[in-house]
Amino acid sequence: MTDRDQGGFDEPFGGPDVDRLNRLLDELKAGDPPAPGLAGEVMARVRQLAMEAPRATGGEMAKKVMWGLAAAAAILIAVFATIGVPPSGDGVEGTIGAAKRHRAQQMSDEDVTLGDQSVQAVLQSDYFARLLQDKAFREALGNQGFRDALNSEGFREALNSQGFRDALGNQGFLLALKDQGFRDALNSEGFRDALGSQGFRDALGNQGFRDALNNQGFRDALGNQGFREALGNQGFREALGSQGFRDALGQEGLRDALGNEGFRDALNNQGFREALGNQGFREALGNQGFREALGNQGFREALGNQGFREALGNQGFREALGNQGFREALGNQGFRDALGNQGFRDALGNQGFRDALTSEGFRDALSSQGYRDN
Amino acid sequence: MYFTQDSDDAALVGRSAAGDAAAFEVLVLRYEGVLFGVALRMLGDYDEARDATQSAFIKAYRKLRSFDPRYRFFSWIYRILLNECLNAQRDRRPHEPIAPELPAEGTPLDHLESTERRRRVQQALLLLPVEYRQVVVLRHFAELSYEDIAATLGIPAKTVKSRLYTARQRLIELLPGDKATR
Repeated sequence: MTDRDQGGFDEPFGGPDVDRLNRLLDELKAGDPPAPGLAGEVMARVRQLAMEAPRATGGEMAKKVMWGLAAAAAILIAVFATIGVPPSGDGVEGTIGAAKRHRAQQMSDEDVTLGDQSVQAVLQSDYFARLLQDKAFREALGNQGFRDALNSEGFREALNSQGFRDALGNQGFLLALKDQGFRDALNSEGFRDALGSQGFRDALGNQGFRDALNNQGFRDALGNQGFREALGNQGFREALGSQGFRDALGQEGLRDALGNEGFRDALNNQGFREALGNQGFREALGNQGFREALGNQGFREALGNQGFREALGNQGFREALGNQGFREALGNQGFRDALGNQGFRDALGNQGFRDALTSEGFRDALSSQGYRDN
Repeated sequence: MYFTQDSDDAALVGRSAAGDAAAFEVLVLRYEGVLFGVALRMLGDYDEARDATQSAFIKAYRKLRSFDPRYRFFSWIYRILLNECLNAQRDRRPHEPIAPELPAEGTPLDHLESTERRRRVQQALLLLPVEYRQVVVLRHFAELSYEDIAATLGIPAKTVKSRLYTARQRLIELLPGDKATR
């Protein structure tokens, strides 16, 4: 029921003219003819439609996917037609069209026309056929994010990188393309260079690594040569699975440390990787002496010692790492054992004690349990 | 009047989308009258109104999956119908609106006068811009409240009142001296 039927026809602007108009409209309405058979005609058509295309099936979804693929393929063709077809990858010689550096301008309809030889070249290329046969790639094509990535300048720039193009055949890479952080990272020159590293591309298969890409510090680190080399290190890639490590990558000290070969070797050490989850350890990485110490095998072994890692949280200890004698002492098992002693670690905060560490006799003495207990 | 069955409508839409044609039939029977009435007043032509209403239902059926249950079914199908009406109006050849025949009442002269008045009222309606015509049609022919018109058109109730006022003023100007006898 309306308010009009209820006698409460709350018209804001009444008056004789409005009343007259209402009567005229009422008269018109009273003459409205019915529409006999209308519902029957509608339902006949509806039932026909229901029989033609069963509803609630995957038919519509499949169609959507096909449209998605078609749209993505069109974008891909447009991109490759403009910048050149990427090489076919391992074992396939030659390329179709030299890759041209594509900068600045966005794609427009004018960039690609039917019958354009470059488009035909793309369509006929082994590379394109291989891409479209790749299940993961096809899945990626159905991903809006991936198609968006194809529209991004960073992505197209990246296509100029051999490493990037090789990476297109990498499952981890394709998975990573679905990640917004990863796509953002494509805007980083360092990141695109990193794609030239096999280790990096392998790392892309690691979920921890892909998660790390959401970290700005991590993406900045990608511009660091040492970091990129470290990516070739299995230990490092495993370390990337640690949230603590990924957080640590936001620290300049750690990123610098990645340029240190000793540090990268240390990444092979489980204890070291665990240590990366320790805040004190990560702070220590900002210490040049500490980073140099990482080149010391004894030191790296010491990192496997829980007491040692705890000691890294001690400022005095970290300063002591700047002392050559101290670092040499780290090669001494007795010394390392001593590090598990709280009193010993406290003593490390004393400059005189640290100087004493340069004495071989002192270090030997540290091997004595009785000395340490005292 | 039509919006009391909103939750029921949503359930019927859900069942229809899952392939239950009988559920859709309930919706068709529920709304065919009001939608046809709206189409008739928007177009002023019986056959075009019938076609537009039928097309609106078929299109709605095809798009059921895109229906957002947070909104009213009537609002949704009304917009589909309005598009159908505008398309029909755009494609048509100009012609005089036909006044529907009323059952004979009073003298033959009264009947002739009434038919002529209704023709002029319908013609005046068609002279209104769509945004004004539709508020008059929804108010007088679909008998919706201001709030329901606002919800259907996606505009504030205040705007509905303002448009209705303007629309009436124009109709009054277009229909000087006409007085209904019933």
